[in-house]
Order: sequence, then C-alpha cells, then structure tokens
Amino acid sequence: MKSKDRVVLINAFISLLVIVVTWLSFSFGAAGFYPILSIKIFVHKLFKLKSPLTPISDIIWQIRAPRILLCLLVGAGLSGSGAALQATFQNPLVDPYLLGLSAGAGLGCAISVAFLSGSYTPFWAFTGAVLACILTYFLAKTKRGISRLGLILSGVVVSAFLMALVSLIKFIVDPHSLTSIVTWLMGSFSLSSWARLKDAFPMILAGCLIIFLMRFRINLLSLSREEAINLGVNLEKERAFIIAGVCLATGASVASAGIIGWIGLMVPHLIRLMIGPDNRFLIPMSMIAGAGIMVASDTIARSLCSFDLPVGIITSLLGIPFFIYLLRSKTQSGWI
Amino acid sequence: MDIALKTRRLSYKDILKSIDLDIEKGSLSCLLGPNGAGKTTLFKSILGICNVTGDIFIEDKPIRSLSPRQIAKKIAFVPQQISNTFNYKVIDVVLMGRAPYIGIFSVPSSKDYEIAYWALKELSIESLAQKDFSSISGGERQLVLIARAIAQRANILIFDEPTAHLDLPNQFNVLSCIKRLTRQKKTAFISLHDPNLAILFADWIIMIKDGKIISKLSSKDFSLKGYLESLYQIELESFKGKSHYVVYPSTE
Repeated sequence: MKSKDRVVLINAFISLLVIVVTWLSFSFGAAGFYPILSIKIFVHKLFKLKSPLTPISDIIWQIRAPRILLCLLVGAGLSGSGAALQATFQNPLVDPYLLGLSAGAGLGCAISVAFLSGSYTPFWAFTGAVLACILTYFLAKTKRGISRLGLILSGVVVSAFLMALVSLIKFIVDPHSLTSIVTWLMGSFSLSSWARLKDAFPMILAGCLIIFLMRFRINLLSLSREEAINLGVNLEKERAFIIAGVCLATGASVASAGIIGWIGLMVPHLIRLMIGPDNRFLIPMSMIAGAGIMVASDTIARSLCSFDLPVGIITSLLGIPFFIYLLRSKTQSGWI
Repeated sequence: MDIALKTRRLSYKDILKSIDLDIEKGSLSCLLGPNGAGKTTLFKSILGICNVTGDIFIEDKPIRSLSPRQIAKKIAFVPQQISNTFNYKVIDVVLMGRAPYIGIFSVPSSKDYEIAYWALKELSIESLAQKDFSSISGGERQLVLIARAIAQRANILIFDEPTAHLDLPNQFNVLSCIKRLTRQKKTAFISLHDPNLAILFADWIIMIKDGKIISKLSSKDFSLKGYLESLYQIELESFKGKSHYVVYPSTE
C-alpha cells in the first residue's frame, strides 16, 4: 500500500473513532445512557426542527453538548500545539505544559479572576502564554544555541516560577476568587457552558488554523538553522507566527478548561508512531485524535465516581507513563 | 568568464579576514584548507547565516538586497548531514527543496511533487523515494541532499565536505554527480579535505588558511604542490598519472 493511501486510511479510521467516542460521550452521563435520544437531539438541533424536545433532552443539550464541544476544541488545540512546538523547537519532548505556556496562561487567568473580576480572561491567558514562551526561550538560549534538555529544564523552571506567582495570588485574594482559581487551575470541564464555549471558540480556532496552514513550514523549521535559512525560511517571523498560533490555542484552552497537561506531548507521538513525522499530516491528525482523547478522558473523569474528577488527573495518568517510556526508549537515539 | 558569486572584503570576527573571491559560472571550485581555516564559516557567510562585514554579490546583485526566499532561489546548500530529530521520508526531504517557491500558508502542489521526483530521477535514486532518510546509506543520503538542491532549482550549489564519511566508490559517485551538474550550467563551490579528489574533479582550487585566501589556481597548474605544502605545512611528493597529478605526504 502506498504511504499516502495508508495515511488516508489511518486518518479515516481515527476520525470514525472520534465520532463514535463523541457520540458515546454525548449519550452517557449522570442523567443516564441515551444513545438513540442523543442522535435525535443532534438531528433536531442541526436541522432546527420545530417539534418540542423532552425535558431530559434539553438538559442533555444544555449541559453535555457545550462540555463535549469544548473538550473537542481544547483537545485539538493542545495536541496541534504540542506537535507544532515539538517540530519548531526540534525537541520531541516538549508541549505547551512542559514549556510553561500553560502555567503562563494559568497566571493570566488567575490575574484576571483575582483583580479584573474575570473580564477578558482568554486575552490574559494568551498574554501569559506568550510571556512564558519568551521567558522559557531566552532562559534556554545560550551562545551555543538551545539544547533539548536545556529547553525542558527552562520550561520546568518557568512553570515553577509562574505557579509560585499563582500561589501568591491565591494567598492574597478573597475566598470566592480563591475557589474559582483553584477549580479553574485543576483542569476540568465541569464549568462548561455555551457562553464559555463562545469565548474560547474563536481563539482556539484561529490558533489551530495558523498551525494547520503552516504545517509545511513547520517541517522546514524542524531542520537545522542553516538548512532552514538556506531553504528561504524567515526564521524569526515564521517561528513568531507559529508561537502566536500555539499561544492563542493554549491560552484559550486554559482560560476555558484550566491547566490540562500531557495531552500535547502524548498525542503527536502516538500519531507519529502510526504515520511518521511529516507535519502536513501529523498536525491535522493530532488535532483530530487529541479531540477524541480529550472527550474520552473527560467522559472517564465524569463517570468514575459520583462527582467530577478534574480531567487533568486522567490525562496525567495517561501521559506521565508515556513520557517515561519516551525518555527511556529515545535517550539513546539522541533525543536528549 | 561570467562571475556567479563574488565576495569583497568579507570579514567575520577573527575567522575570515578580508576575503575577495570570484567564482566563475558553470565551474566547479574547490576550497581546500586545514581544519579551522574558515571553510565552513565562509560558506555560512555566503548563505547569510553569519553577520559578516564586506560585500557578497550573486550574479552581480548585492546579497543584502535579496530576501531569504530570493537567496534560496539562487543558492542551494548541501550540508554534510541533516538534523535527524525527525525521520522524514526521502521524498519529503527532497520536497523541502521546493520551499522557496511555496507560500508560508501553502503546501507543496502536484507540480512540486513532479519536480522532486524528477530530481531523484536525475540522480537515478527514485527507488529511494518512500524510504526513511535514516535507513539509507551515507552515500545515498548525500545524493538525496543533492536531489533536494536540484529541486531547489538554484544555479549556485554549495557543498560542505560532500565526501566526508563516505567510502571510495561513494566519494567518486557523489563528486561525479556534482561534476555532471556543472555541465548543466550549474556553479558548484565545494570544500574537501583530499587534495587529490580536488585535482581530479575541480576546475579551480582555492586555498584558505587562517581566514585568508592564499591562492586560487587551476587544478591543472603545475605549481599546486608547492602551494599545498605551504597550506598544510607538510612535505609532499607527486607523480603524474594518466591525466592528473597525484600528491601524497613524503614518508622520509
């Protein structure tokens, strides 16, 4: 089978899997399991049918639908961002979480909630992510360039510093804001609503669109500096575009669902194992698969016990063993 | 003869010292020099990677007036090896050569694919297209990087030690391929460590030492031996083969 056909086949399979997972997630919840009703609700809303829905249908539509759509968006945004960062920094071990972007966005959210009564939260999250990225980059940069381990360590240091600032804010704010910040930063979709989805949608979409459109340039940025320049790449400008896209997607994701780690690291690697490193295919497929894995993780998080677990716990439980596997299996092949 | 590449008073820190160089169109010019002489830095300067003082002209146009994309359409660089963080397929590596012709929000078109396959065919390595770059031999990798430079459709090709780490047949294969390209009106500027390969394949031999150009001679010039002795600070013997001189270190 030709490699392009194989990619198309795998893409079709993953897309189908994501549709099934989304359907099951939409059908399943505290109110019960309604696989047929969920399809009816979807058709009803899609074609704007006039017939009245049952009360349970309205509950499902008002509570589950925005939550699942937000999961899809955040999963796509974080996974696409992870793939883009790994190639742009030529470092397969980074993602928005490990580079401190999520912590920066978290600090932006905390500032917005504590001091600005929660207004323009996605904007502050974006600003925080950009500043964190710049800080990590310049901390890692030496005269000899940026080492892979140096970049990860800088990300860890920046994350720790920014989270310390978040702790400081938590210490000085009033109890009401403190509860909001704590719930937010844990990483959860439990506060999802159509309004929150509406806030996050344009920024995540814009971020994903930039990353998707620049997927061939991301291939070029994964080469050495000399090669990229000789292939006509304007390094600073193109990197800035991609980082802006990543910060838009990450910032809006954190603003709408809190800090959710590891998904941006794990998903691109899973897809890379299946179809190889070509970002023209890797990035869109990571977005699709990331959306599905986020929906699945959130469904597990809200089904495991009587209350909603933060979804960040589930993604961490999945992602950390994966990171250890990568660290152990790829160290000898020069990834660190 | 027309000049493809020209440098005037090119300097970079203490590594390059006021280099004046003319590279003729359609020629194969070979840069020889001991380790640390400034060969790679000179190439990087021409490619716009080092911030140099002095002037560089490509086909009489100052390089400062050209954008990175315009430079990439005129000069292609073939490194010793490429960054191996991600294991791309051979065809994807060659497709990257089309980057100067593709907008930043676009992907390669079917025409770009055609050109990439044509470049592989030119070097008779089209069978490698779907293989992983890291799974092919060193000689094949060098040919793939040359195919990428061909796909880039630049008239000036710069090769940094293209025969490094290659066995004898592959060294000949790669240099023969570069020589063939100069017959198709391409200008090749390469660095080598083996003076005999330079004598055999190059039209011009340029010697660099301590960041200065000390000579530029025809590869058939009889006085090469003396210059090479002065370049490498080593006594050499020579004998005339069928068509070329061969030099080797004196063992006495």
